[in-house]
Amino acid sequence: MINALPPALVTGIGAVLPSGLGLDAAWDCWQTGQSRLGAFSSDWIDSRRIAGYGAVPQEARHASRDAVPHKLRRFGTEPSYWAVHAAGQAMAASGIEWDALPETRRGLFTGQGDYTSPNIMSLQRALTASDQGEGVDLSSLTSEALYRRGADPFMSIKGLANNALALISLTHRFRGPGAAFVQNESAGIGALQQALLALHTGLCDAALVAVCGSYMEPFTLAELWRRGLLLEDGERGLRSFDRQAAGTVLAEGAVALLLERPGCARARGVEGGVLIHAPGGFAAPRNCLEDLAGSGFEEGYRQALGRLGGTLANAQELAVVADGRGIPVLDGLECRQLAAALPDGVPITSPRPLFGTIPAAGALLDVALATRILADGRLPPVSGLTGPLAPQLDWVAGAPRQVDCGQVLCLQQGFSGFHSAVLVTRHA
Amino acid sequence: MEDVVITGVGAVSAGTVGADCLFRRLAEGQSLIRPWSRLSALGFGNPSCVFIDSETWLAVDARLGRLEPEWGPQTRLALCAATEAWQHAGLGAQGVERGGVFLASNKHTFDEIQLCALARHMNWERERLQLDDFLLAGGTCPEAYFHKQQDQAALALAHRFGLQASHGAHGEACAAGAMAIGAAMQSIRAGLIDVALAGAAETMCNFMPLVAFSVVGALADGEHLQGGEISRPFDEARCGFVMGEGSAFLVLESASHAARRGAHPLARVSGFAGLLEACRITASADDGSEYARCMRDALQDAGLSPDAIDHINAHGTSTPTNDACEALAVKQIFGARIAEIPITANKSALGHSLANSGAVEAVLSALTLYRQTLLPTLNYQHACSPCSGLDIVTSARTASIRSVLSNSFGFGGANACLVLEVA
Repeated sequence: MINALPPALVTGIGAVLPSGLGLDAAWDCWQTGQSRLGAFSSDWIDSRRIAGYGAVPQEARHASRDAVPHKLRRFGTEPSYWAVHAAGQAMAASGIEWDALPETRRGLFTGQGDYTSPNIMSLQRALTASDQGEGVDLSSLTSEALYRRGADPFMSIKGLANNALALISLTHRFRGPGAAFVQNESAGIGALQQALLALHTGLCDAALVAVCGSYMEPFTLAELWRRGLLLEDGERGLRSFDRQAAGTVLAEGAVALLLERPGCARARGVEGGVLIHAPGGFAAPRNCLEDLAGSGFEEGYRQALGRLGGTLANAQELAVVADGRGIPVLDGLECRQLAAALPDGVPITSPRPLFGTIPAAGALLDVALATRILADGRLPPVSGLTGPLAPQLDWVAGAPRQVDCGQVLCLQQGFSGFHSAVLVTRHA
Repeated sequence: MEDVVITGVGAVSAGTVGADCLFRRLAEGQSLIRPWSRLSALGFGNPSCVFIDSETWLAVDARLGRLEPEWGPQTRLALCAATEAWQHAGLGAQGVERGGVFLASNKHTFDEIQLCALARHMNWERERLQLDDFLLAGGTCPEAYFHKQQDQAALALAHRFGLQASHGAHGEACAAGAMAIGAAMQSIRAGLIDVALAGAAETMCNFMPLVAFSVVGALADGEHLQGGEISRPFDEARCGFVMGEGSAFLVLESASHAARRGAHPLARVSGFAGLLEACRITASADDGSEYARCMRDALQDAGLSPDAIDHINAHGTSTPTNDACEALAVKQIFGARIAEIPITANKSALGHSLANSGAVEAVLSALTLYRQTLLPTLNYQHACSPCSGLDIVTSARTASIRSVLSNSFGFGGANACLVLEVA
């Protein structure tokens, strides 16, 4: 019986985010406080009610598409393209001689959050052909879709939760163990857990965790808006943990982490680096926002922290990257959880005000940024935080703070109700 | 390394609530495939599927107690099947300190009514959607977001049964159910958890999935065969699969944990492989070599040679290419002995419930071991060339079975094989 899996060494990171290609761009944005959230815009959806969005910039989209072999592109979605690019970055950064590593020893563990296909455009031709001005005739719609090529022939493949898994495995030749997770915002954490297990049990020698997601699908946008979660006043911005918070800004992107057993990495000359420990998680009693005051959330939070094996004893070496979606009820709850769970004086920050809420990849982005916090000894601030909901906590606000922390705890609470906690530590 | 046993099973399918009931119906040679008037009215040439009808929904909901507004169709099915498995395992009132949930599903997406409501706000000439008009028209209900999220069922199970040590919501297409079971088995084996609810829930008999899998050429179109005759794995007249839905769960447990509480295992899960092919996105290697690689790894994981396998629960979708690949693969693994290994394809009666298929087939495989009874493959009459020489079981029969290989292969090149053995 064991309580947690051994940690793995991060030897490569890749990212395609609203800040562009690569983690360096995201880190620079966070340090300098440059938001990559803009007004909501899409090449086919108009909305003023949804005030903002964190879109992957066009040049990064093009580069990602180019990273996918031409013959595979018709099967993939844009978020999967981003995941392919991010995976390639992480592989290159690792320094592994990929030709020498058998394809069957490469593990791939993906996560997808909300995704963009199928959508109404998947049936564009069928819908236009079956609407003769008096609304859509359903039997005509079916007929057009099935028998007159009115539907995207590959929407089943694009709509599957293993779309990124398939595209990455085909592009980068991963033929070992694999799995695709769909735990909404915590999908990346599920993938991370399975990757650690695969490394621990010797099923693979390198485990790539690649996670992607986008909210750019009309029903999803409408549903989250109807739920009252989205910022409608663009002037206010995403204000994590602030009394002025008025809703979150959705975003999109992909993040990839290349993991190895520390001993294997050391054997090929890798020194130092950052370890990722097994995540702790908790499934909340309900996701109904009105009921968030229930004690189950706080209990779950403690369980997630407790599962990290007591490493919080060294509180003076700890920093926290918290979630902070800018949704008052969620942020209020998170503040209570932070106050209840953390020792006094632990600095807390969040990149959310600059990057928005990214499905699946957001949690892994925090983990990726934690590696930079440890490497640079700098803790960037919660951008825009002027009136904290919980002033007793040690928020990093204003300017980046020099820190000498050896461990960073990354916390997430998804819309769906899965909480996760991942500890990242410096490797001697 | 902990041995992993199955101590409870549960299932919901069309007109059937309960794993034993399902096993009995299949043993009697019943097909659950039937035409659905709703699909006929929509103009589907093949309106046959294995759908959860209104009576079954009533039976499902009656077992759940108070329904939470966030529970969508997948969650309700999962709660019903998992509750049966949990009770079957004798875990009713006992708390489990180190328990996990491993659940597979595909996205329950929008339907044709929602699609048409959204289409009213689409300017097709400009190819632009006026989303604000749709928002103000009240086109969604407050719970809609949660009804389609694939992690909701796992969340509900984790909370209901107090399983907080590990959570995995899987989405590896048609291999996802077996992947979830395999991941649960690996976690128990590694000593991370003691008990897991592992299974799947799928609700795909509706407009978008049926269109999506039709236009890619995977679903039978109903032109040559109708109703229960369509699904005929390994038969030369096969022409595509029939969509199915349902839910199936197993309680997996470390053998030591089961022994401590005096539970009686139905079977053991002794081997698993979940591999990526990186071959083609919609089809496997033509010679079956990738399916064979996965089977070989699962046998190796179980510490068994091919000679030890007594029965194969095939993926057997009834699509021309998949069945041919699988037939070639089992011949590679088992050689001449393949003629002596009885093979069953449950999709002949249950249709293809995608992520759920691997889970329900694992449940049926466990019951096959427990009852020493082989289930039939319906509609198998004449083998095609690659499928010749296989012992396809066409009527239920008793047999001495020590071990079963259960196969699941998914779009995108995700394959999963499980090895189950007698307890």
